[in-house]
Amino acid sequence: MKVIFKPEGGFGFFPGLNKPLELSCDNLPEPEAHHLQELLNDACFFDLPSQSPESSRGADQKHYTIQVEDNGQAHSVAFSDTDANAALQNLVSYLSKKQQESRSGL
Amino acid sequence: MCHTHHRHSIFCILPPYLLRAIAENGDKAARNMALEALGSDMTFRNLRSVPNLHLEVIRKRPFSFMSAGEKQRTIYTANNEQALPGVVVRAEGSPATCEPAVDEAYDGLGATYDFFWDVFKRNSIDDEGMPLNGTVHFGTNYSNAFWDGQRMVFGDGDGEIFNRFTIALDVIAHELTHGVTEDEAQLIYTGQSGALNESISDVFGALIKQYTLKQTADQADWLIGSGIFTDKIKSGGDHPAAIRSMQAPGTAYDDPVLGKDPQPAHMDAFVNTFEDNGGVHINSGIPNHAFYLAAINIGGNAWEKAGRVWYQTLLDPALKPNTKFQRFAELTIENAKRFEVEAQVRDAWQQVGITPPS
Repeated sequence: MKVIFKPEGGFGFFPGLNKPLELSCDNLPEPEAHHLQELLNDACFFDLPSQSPESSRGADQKHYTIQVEDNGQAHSVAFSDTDANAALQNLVSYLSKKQQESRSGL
Repeated sequence: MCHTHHRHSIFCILPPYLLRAIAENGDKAARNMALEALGSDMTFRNLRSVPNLHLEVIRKRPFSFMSAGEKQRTIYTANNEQALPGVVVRAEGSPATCEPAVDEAYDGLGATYDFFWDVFKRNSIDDEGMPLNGTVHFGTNYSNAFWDGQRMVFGDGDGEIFNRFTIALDVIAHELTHGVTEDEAQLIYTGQSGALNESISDVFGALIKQYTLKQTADQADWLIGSGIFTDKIKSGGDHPAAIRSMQAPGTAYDDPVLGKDPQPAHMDAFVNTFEDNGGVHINSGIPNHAFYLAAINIGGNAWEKAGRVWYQTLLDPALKPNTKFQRFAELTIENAKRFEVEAQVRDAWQQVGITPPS
């Protein structure tokens, strides 16, 4: 399974923070790959709409795109912080942490 | 199972000063309900939620609801979750909590309200006394601040790159100004109109900081979000690292993790991109720099003339939701005439590569 995570938006544009993160379960320790699978299951990821309805109000909100490819199945979801339910927020928190680790070279 | 929260009807009609008295002196249940009522008036909110009708409809609010010059702030905490608005932690007139994010948000919204009232006689976001609601401690290590169309929302930062977002007054003022722009001009949040939307928030964010610090245009640092970054982040100029620089766009930061500040200062360097809603936080550097140059050309306190020109432009019916830089520049020059600073404003736009017709 492959997961691509792309955060965007917010109060400013920071080139170094907008780089997409690509995770492959083949390269993750087994417990972590299992954890990621659970986060995706909890979010019912493959049942989520591809695009949240766009609001004409507000500014500076963060937006995320998550794409998952698994067993020939592919799905992409785009949403903002205020659209995300708790399960999707947990998935974003995990992916944000992984992105931070990748920036730090961990 | 769905739980519905009912508010006692009396709290919908009591004036703010009575609600505050209940909030301070009532029993726990009454206090909680009064605090909730202070934080939101559903009549106003429902009117505002109807797109494109709100300008026409909200002008018809009864005058008895208004108390010009009297602000009505409510600060909530999201308790590090992402549910809005969260729980009330400080209402108008209640004492400081000694919790920095709460008190900074309260004071920052107050300073912003006071600026718009003292300088422009504008009564809050909608010029009709709209309550100011802010939510702090949004999310976990959340590194952002935003306006959601109803309230200002602030994260605590991750402690690695970002400090808490309430730490900078201009960031709080920036978010509140998005509400003002949404009320007056509805500048579409993409491409050049989106960059103008962003720039207007930076302009008034900077002015409110300068007004609070009593700084003239040449004394100000013209940095947006100074203090938001931790000490680890490197500046791109001879100043502390910040999110944007209106004086020298492109120099706010230059850091191995963040990259280099991508803002242009001139139309020659305009960035065409699909990212960032078409570069709203990138190309805003151009009108930001034009405002800086206009303020320096005019001299003195930037809010007195340059700020007034930009404010009148924001109120100008000719400012349409899809306005681009060229038309915005023309409108600022038109509005500059009544303040006798037309030449200084025209020169500022020419210096960033925009030449309005004479």
